[in-house]
Amino acid sequence: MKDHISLLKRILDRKKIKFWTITDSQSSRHELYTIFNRQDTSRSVRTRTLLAGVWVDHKEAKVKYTGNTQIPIPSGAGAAEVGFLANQAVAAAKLVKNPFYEIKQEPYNYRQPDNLEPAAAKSPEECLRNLRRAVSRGMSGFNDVVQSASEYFVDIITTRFLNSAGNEYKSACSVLTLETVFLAGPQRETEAWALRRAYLAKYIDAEKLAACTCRYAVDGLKAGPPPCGKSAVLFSEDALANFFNFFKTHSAAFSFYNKFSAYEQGKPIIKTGTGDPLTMISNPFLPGVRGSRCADAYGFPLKKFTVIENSELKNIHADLKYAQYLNLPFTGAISNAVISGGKHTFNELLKEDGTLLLVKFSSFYPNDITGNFSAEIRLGYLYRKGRLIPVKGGAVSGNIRDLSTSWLLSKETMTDGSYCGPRGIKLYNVDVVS
Amino acid sequence: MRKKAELKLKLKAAVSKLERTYPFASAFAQEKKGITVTASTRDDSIIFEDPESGVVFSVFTGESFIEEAVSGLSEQNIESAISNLLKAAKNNKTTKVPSHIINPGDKISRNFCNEVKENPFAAGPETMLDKARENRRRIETLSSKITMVRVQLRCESSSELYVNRNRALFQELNYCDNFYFFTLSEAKKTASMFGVNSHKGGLEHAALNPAKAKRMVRDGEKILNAERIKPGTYDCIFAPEVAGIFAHESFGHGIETDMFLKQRARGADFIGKQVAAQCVNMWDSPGEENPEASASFFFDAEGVLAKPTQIIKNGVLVSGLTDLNSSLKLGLARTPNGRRQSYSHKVYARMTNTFFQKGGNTLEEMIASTKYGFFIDHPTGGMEDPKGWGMEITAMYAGEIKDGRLTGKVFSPVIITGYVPDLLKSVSMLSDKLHFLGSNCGKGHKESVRVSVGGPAVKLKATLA
Repeated sequence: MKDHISLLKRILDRKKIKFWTITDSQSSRHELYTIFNRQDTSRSVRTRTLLAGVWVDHKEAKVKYTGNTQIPIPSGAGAAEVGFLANQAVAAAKLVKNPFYEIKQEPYNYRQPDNLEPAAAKSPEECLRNLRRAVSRGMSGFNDVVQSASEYFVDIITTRFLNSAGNEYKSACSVLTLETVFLAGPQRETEAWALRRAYLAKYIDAEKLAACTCRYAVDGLKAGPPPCGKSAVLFSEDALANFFNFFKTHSAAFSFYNKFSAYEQGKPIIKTGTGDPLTMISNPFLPGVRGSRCADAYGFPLKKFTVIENSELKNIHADLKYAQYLNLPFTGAISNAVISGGKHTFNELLKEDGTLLLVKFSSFYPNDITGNFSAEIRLGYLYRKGRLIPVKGGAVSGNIRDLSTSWLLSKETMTDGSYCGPRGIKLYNVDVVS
Repeated sequence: MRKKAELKLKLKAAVSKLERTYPFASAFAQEKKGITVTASTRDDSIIFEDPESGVVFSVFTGESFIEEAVSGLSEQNIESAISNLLKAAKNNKTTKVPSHIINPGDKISRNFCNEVKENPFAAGPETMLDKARENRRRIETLSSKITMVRVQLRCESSSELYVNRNRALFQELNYCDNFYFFTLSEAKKTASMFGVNSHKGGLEHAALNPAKAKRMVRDGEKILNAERIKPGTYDCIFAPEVAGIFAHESFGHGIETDMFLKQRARGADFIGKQVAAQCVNMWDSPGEENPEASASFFFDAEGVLAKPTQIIKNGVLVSGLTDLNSSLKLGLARTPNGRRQSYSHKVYARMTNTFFQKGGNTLEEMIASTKYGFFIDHPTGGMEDPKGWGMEITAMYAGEIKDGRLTGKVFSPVIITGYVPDLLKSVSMLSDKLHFLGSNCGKGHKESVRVSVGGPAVKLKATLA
């Protein structure tokens, strides 16, 4: 494959095209599957992909266009095939008629985030065993809980990137995945499920995740339907990963270019209300956080920048193409969207009588365009007279944009996958039905 | 797949070598290619997809499975995978008396291919982009309120070879997916709609369905000013695509028998029992002839030939959907449902084309029979809960029905929730036309495979919010 890269580089250089990239990714993944804590399947997977990105300028009826495409190069390809595929990529890129934009050809230095778990790199098999042991420790205090099934993956991915500007970087990361399901009750009648994927073991925190999931399985036994009507709802855990996507989407140059963003730069994005302000910062350098990386698809180094500050849109996040189309400052692609916490602690938000804390959903994907959300409740707790009463079933619905005027964000923040933000978000007047 | 016959022989030899150490071995090789073109109102793209070429060898130790997957189909890669599996035998005891014996099936050697009238890989990306641009233009002209249209045309061809000591099966599967998404704006209000047409075959299916596109734009205009529904339990008529998702989420996931093995599905205790109204019949069929049944294949990733499985018969749950592991350990009959996301992913019991059998009523009769209720259309997703027998379906459109007529008033979006047996037992009418909707489905939140869901329109009682 090393020869393939040199060959591909030579062929692309000879074509004198506007810009090219080569990405060589190798993955070595170990997987372990257990059913009732007995090994059911073990797998080892080794893959390698080589991708060429090609950008060309072309003209039609005196209008200048920039087109691009991406093409994979098979591992067994000879020189003739690599040449053929490169020609195919150039021909395909010329079909794409996007308005012309410049691509800077400058040398860069890269700052690599630390996304490699040393233990996983040293021995993936031992790392799998450690994850399994941590899950067993986590469930040790729960006598009436059994582990139904667990899946443990450790993936080591190395990437080499080159572009026509002479830039090159190598990166390595570990991707750890834990999916685990616990059953509770004399007839094993309830289950609780968790899936977590992270670069570093500390963000999986398998022992704590297992303990928490066991607790949810047990609480599911006692859970009844939530009260219907308008409710104050504290969203946490399963709701967090996609909670702020509406704000991220509407702050994107792509949305402005396609005329569906609800925002204007420099203007408030949330109507003045009683709620906490929203601050969102894009930070690509957080060690081990899933959005951390050194460069975008062109190989331009990513940087930290403020997207939204105190509910005002400071910077529309714009990659090279959309920044030029809209005449905006080039921020580079958004990476980890870090959301600041609010004034109140999680407990203060919870301990208001009648608050519904929701932790597990079937799925929670608010509509990026409209902000509407609807989700089935798998598990939550009603705070009443100093007690947490488990609830499940029914659904919540509302509109994140409308409800953000009075939302409260917890002071405590957390990291889960690529989510970095408040541990809880409290919305008022949420519709609950059961 | 290049040098198919030669590869078949190599894999046969490899299986034979592995079976000198393990009681059972098999191989699954795949070469998948795809082109995706996107035509948007303001920019376009062409992507040649990662070819996903590789092989996975599976061995059974007598107790558990070990797999070795490697990208590329070179002799060197194959040898290295076999060598790793033979080394693994030292760390994974193979039982002299296996707890389970795997039946490799009857001796069969066959090649299959689904029909492609217009080959996208021969036609090339230019033809595909022209077709996508034409579809985009057609949608743009349907409403002045449309602000952006994005049409994505994706063609895929997967060559798959399964080999065990008795079987050598090859299939070439071709699919064409046509996704469209658009946004509409009016007086600072924005709405979005999306749809998909998936088919077995090639570019002969690339054209937009004009009636469907018109309906989507018309309904999109209505939801721009739609209110949220007052939460409650209502008489509902699910459009065929919503009914299909209902089939998939209710007793689709819940009867994937790897979930029985993990005690994660209540369906295991209800085989042979009434779980739905007597008028309900449900099937899973990878050999379904309807061209929109876009999860079709000739054999699954474990070499089981396609055949239909009836899941619910006259309201009674009659069968689960099995993969090799769960059928072996639970003593259940094999069905053709052992599926992988690709050669690099594990096999699970998965649905294929899952659908309600059609009934005898027209949609008009169903609407006329409704005193007050809603016609639910334009689904956006669904989620299952086989253990708790809950489920959710989200949709963009709930059209009000009053005194047997659609009033024109629309609510959006809606979520449908409920206890699966209650929902299925409340089914009172099914329409006489069956439609399929192509999609991708995960196991939990990963392991995506191509599926289709189908149904006639279905009348039932459900909770909407």
